[in-house]
Amino acid sequence: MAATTLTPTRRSTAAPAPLKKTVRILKYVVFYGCLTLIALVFLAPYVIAFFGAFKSEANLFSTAPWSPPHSLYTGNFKTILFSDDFIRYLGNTLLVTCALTAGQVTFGVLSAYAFARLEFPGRDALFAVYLATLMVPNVVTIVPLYTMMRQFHLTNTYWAIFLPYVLGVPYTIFLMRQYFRSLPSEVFAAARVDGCSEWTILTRILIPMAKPIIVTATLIAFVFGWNNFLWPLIVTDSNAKQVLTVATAGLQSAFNDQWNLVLAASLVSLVPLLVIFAVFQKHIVRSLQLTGVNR
Amino acid sequence: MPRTLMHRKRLFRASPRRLAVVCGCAALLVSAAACSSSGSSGSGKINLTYAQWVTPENTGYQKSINMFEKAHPNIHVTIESIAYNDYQPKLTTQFSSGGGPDVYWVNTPMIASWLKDGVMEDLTAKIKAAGINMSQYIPTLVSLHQFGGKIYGLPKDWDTIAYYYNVNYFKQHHIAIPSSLTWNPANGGTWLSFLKELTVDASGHNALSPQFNSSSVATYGTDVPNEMQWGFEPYLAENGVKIINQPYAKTVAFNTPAAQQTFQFLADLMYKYHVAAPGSDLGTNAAANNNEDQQLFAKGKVAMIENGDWITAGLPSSVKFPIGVLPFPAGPAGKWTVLNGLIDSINTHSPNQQAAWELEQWLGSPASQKIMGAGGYIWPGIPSLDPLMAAYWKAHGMDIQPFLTEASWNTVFWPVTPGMNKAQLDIANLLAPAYLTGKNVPQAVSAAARQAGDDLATAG
Repeated sequence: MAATTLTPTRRSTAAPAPLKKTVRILKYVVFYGCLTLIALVFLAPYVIAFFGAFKSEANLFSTAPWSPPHSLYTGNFKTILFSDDFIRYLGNTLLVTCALTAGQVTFGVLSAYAFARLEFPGRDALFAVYLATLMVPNVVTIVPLYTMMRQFHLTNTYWAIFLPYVLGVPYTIFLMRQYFRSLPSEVFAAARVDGCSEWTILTRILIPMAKPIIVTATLIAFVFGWNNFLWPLIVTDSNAKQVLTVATAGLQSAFNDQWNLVLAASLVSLVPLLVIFAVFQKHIVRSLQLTGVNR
Repeated sequence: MPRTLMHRKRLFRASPRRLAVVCGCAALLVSAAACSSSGSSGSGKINLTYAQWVTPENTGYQKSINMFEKAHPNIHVTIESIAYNDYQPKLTTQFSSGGGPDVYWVNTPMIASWLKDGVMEDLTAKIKAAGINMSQYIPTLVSLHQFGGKIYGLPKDWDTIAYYYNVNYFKQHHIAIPSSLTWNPANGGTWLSFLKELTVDASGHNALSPQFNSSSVATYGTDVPNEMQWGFEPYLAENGVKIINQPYAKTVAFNTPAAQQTFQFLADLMYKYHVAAPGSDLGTNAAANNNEDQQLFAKGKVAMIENGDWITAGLPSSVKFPIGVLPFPAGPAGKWTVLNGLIDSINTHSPNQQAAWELEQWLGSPASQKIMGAGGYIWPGIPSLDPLMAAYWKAHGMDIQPFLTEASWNTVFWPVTPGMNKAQLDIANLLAPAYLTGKNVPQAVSAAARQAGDDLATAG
């Protein structure tokens, strides 16, 4: 009955078919127009960087940024890869990023487990204090950290670049703790009843169950390590210890612009992140769901 | 269900092991790398760090350092080149923790704050003991780095401000290089006529022609950057105005009618006569901080750019035409230029004071400055070596003699005084509306002078 009464009403208020079609087309045009515009805004810097990386310095400055290169000039990449110690910087970056990531994930899992699943006095207060350090900007701790590194004679070493971050950072520990807490507590209770130690519970039950969030934490740590700039800039004193971000910034100076090299270096730096994205695409999408959904 | 359980079983067996392997490998790699790259050479050598910002000069200094190391086999020097914008923040952070490079470049804008911080070693006694002849250097460079009778570094180079021009453009438009040019804020002088001759619209009419269309200019005569050293300071000096009256002044000196006339003239070049590219073409605040002026020059949008000789080595690779250099036009107060120079300073925190002093002496010596001048990297601080620099560039197709000529004119320094770094930013911000629109110039100058005065007064 309801259907029969509603149908004429709908018909009576509905627009004529051609008008409806026009409105629908117009909606699509506006919708896809907006999407295209947004996509252009996001893609334009990459396209311009790509074009610029294949132009010589003189061509880069004498042509419009959005005009494609006349020929595929590879001189910038040759300069970067073969005459500018870039391979060394790439190796340095890979080394410190892997060390930072491995440490951050390992210690992050341990501390998140403690904050989520172990009972000890002052646990929540300690976690709250630790979480509060999220509010402290990085630059505030730069001078004290540098002083500490000097005291330990660690400045200008690889250790100095990743040590401040290797024991975990509040953001990823927070993410993991929340995830660990969301896992069914019955599983852990059952494991304890069966006589499992905390270490066994952690390694044989929790880690396999928490694989998605661990992958997320790994990706966050890797991207952070790869893109870290200020701290490596401050704590290293020689080109031999430079990482990609610092070396790329050095190519662009107020006294000698080499934007062609900067763009080529930026593209090369992007490659490992793109590879990681391609490999872990599924996990990244899942991690977005994990971090976005209120559990 | 069984599949899931098995899958999990396989995972929890493999994950900790994998994790341990990854951690172990990373630790091993880092240990190996850290050990192999330790700061100590292990052979009793003294390791010095020599900080510079990134410029084409770095290559020349490496050649000079190679010579130094041959003469001092017990000292190893590592050149650390840092992007200019990061240079002062990085070193200041390191200094605040008692660290930093052993020897480092000091640009004029950095002197006041680093002197106040006490990180520049007083070299007066060492210079006297070593019997270094300070009269071999350009006297103004020595006085620029001398405070309260103390000397904080040996001058290594100098620079002045002139106009780089597109040689092909001049030929194409049959424009002769004038022997001398003058400007004044009243009618612009021969400088304005020259700029009008250089400025050409899309139809090929120059700005002297009644048919000139100012709304479709193809190439402007020049640019007018909202920048102190290589923008307005030379013009102010040539109209009898200084930013501050003497080094370490607590007040500014450019809130005068003459200063307002000068800035009005510069704005008129852009918006009344249309012979200079509008400020909006020069990026944020019209300050050309990202070398927008050089990009306009490379694109053929301006026939000349006002800049310092430090871009000489980098500019030819960014353009497709030969480059010439024109001296600054003379102003109502005569011929003035901004002469600036750098010193190498020794870090007071350096544990290697003696070795650092050896390096300082080498860098200030005729032998090192000869390498740098003859390689076309810098104008040496020792004037007898300056012809080497001119000869290098002459042989490479660019006559840079005008920079050298200007060094013998009246000179004004970059205004050295505590608080000037902040004041410089505030001046650029407050002058920006005038540079971007050409309107309310006197008000902008007054506001900039007032704010800069406050900055100096409160700098301590």
